[in-house]
Amino acid sequence: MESVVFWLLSATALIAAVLTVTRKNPISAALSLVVCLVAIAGLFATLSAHFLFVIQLLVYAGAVMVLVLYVIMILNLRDREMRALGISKPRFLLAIAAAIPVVIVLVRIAGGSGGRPAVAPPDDLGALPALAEGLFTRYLVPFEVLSVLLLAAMVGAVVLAMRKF
Amino acid sequence: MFTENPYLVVSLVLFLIGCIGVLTRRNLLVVLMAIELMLNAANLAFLSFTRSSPALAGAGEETMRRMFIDGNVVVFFVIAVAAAEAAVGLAIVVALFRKKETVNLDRFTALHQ
Repeated sequence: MESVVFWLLSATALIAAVLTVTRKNPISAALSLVVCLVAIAGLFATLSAHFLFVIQLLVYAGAVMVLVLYVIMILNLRDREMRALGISKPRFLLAIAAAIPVVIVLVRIAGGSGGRPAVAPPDDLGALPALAEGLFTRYLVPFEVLSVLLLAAMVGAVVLAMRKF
Repeated sequence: MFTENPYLVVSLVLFLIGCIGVLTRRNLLVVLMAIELMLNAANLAFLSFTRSSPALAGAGEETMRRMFIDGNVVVFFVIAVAAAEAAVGLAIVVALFRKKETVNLDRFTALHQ
């Protein structure tokens, strides 16, 4: 059962990812990316990361993708321009050629014998209180820095988008 | 490790698709989306290592719980930073489009003018 769900979600994520990078129309690319992100959220859930499942849906598939779609619609690209901006064949072949050594290296690094945990994971592994405790004790300083970063990004985005060139 | 942790294969393929998207597409918006895809592939790898990694072999319940929380927190941070990146990146796209009236990456060649 679990592996059926895994393969279903993986296949969805991979197909949607391929569609994302091959669609000429940025709106279809963005909607494919939403499907891909939802499938990845499902994969998070199968890894018992329930909190990140919700965060992925809210922040990524929700907020970020709405922002992307909003910008695409604001820019209001003409059809002619979108057709000219498809995938370019020579670059595609070059990218594949560049990807092959990366795959070989990664497979050699990760292909060694790894270990599954010797004991079964605890039942309440994905429980939220433990995660919250980690976030607000050991990771308190990064967490606060992150809030400053988000504020800075917000101000930066507003300034950049408002500026007249 | 790939047979014990199939999530890694999915993560690797997703990352490569994103990478090829960044390298081959000329539409600035699609390149940004491909970057998001790569970040998500990395997140998936992070999370899969919290459940299956050589460091977990023979580990007790406490270590396992701690590693799981560490992995989750890292992914949480990555998601937050990616959201900030998307906001600033899209603001830059809007600013560039106002100046050049295009999102074609090949047209953005000047450092200053």
